Amino acid sequence: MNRRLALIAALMALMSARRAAAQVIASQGEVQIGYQGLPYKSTGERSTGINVAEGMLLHVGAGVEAGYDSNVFYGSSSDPGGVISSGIIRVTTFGELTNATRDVVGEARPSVVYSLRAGLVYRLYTSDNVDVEKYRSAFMPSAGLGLGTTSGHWAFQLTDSFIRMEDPPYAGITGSSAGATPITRDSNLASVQAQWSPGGGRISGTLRYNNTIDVFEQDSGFSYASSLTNQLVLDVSWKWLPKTALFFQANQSWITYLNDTPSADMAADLSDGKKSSSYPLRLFIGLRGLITQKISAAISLGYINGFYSAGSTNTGIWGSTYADAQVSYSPSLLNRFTVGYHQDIVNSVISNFYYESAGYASYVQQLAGRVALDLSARLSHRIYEGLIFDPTQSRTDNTITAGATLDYFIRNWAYAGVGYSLLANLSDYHLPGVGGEGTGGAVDYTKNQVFLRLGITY
Amino acid sequence: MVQQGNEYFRGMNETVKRIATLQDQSKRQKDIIRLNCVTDKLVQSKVNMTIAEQAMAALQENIARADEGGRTHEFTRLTIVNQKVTVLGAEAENCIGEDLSFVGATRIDVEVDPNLPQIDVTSPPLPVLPVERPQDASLFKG
Repeated sequence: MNRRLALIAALMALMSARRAAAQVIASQGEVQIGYQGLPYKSTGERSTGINVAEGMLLHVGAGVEAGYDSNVFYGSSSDPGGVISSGIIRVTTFGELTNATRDVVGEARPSVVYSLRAGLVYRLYTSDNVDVEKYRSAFMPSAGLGLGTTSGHWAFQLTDSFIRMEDPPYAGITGSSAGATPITRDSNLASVQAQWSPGGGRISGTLRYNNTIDVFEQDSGFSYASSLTNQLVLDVSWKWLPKTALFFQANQSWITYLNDTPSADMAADLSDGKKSSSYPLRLFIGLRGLITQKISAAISLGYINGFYSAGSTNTGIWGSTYADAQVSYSPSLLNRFTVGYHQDIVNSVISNFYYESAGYASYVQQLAGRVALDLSARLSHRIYEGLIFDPTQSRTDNTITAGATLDYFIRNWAYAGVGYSLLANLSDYHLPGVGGEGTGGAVDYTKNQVFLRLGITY
Repeated sequence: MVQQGNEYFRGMNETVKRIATLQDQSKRQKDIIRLNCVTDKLVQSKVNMTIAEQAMAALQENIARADEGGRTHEFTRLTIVNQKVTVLGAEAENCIGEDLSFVGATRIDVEVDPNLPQIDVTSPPLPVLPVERPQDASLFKG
């Protein structure tokens, strides 16, 4: 295995993933679930990019998605006037500067690989509904940096990615509610990693530090949950086959909240409104890599403890079990079918955490280097513990995420396609102090979006 | 019969000379493994040459005595010895030494199935930004 090639591939994957993350709802390992953003490049394409200097390529692209959003405010159909639909247009532009050569599988590769990326998404709701008009326009920038090098048995990698998300608020706080503003979230993830692979690379150790700053802007409705996460990951693997490794991973996080002290207005209503700092620890062993030439797997099982400083924490054998199983079958280089199961505890914005048991499936298919099909779906069963605003109540949600895209590349730099997105939440919970069954306060919703897509990428 | 015996004798002499030449080459190349092998063949060949000389002398003696049985017996000995020396000559030519047993520094040619993924599928997955929209939990706006 050429380690430099692996580094280039990893960086490119990270950078392209960042672009997709603007619209993808969930990520399981290397598999993206849900509606996929506009394509980064033609399937299997390596010859694009403007050669701006010796060994430096500039990739640029722009695309537009026009379609229909069935539920702008994620409202419940059981609530009167809860569901408002609108036409939607999204315009995406991006640029990437990299020294990764066009011929990724060639021999001549730079010793230091870098990639700089910036993108901007503009979203427009076309409805003239008075509630929708307040949230008509949104600008969502993103940026990324990747830097990697190898030296002997060592490989180093530095990455940073930033994304700003803006979405209309929930239905209950739209309309005449004073001060209703969009949910705006700025997230930055910085990561530095050192990997040591002595000898022929049969044993490999990875030490990674991740820093995540996750900020909900003031008045977004969730600013109390703005957080800082530091994470240390130690991963040791042993390749008992050339493409298959047994591994052990220890993963320790420190999660603290930036707005630990609620505002004066909040204090009256939120006696328990502070988020609890936590120090989640995950210890697990597993297997990654190829089972056969066409079947790959990532299977892990281990222990997890949230170590919440206050309030609910995970308990019991089942609640302390981390499990992940993902199997992919690739009959050829042009298609892949993946199924998986994931069990974890997840730090939550609206509670201390939730237990999650999720199953998912994904199918990708390329045809003749021109057509790209992506189908995926995920069902997540979530049991919330320690609700911030309603600590005495329990809450169980079932969220469904599904996406389908079909793109046809007219040229290797121009494409047209269609897309579909489904987001749904089935919940047994009602907002505290609001209405009742059928009269408001329901938090379940179904949101369908369909798009026509058109764009260029070079 | 004497003429045939003389031809055998010339052939065996040439074989022994050839083996001696191979021995000299091995000495010059300081190839001890090949030298041992060739020397072993040369010693055996010389012993057989001695037997052949005795058989040739006895053959001529038996011809002079008109001893038909003895003449045939000695010629048969001479033929067998000739065959043995011929075989030893061939074995000496096939002696191998360090130059053939040492094949140079180890070189590994790896053939990777092009259908296998080119990236390292055994590396830990990359971290992902939290971009999921939080669920609705309150009308309160913080």
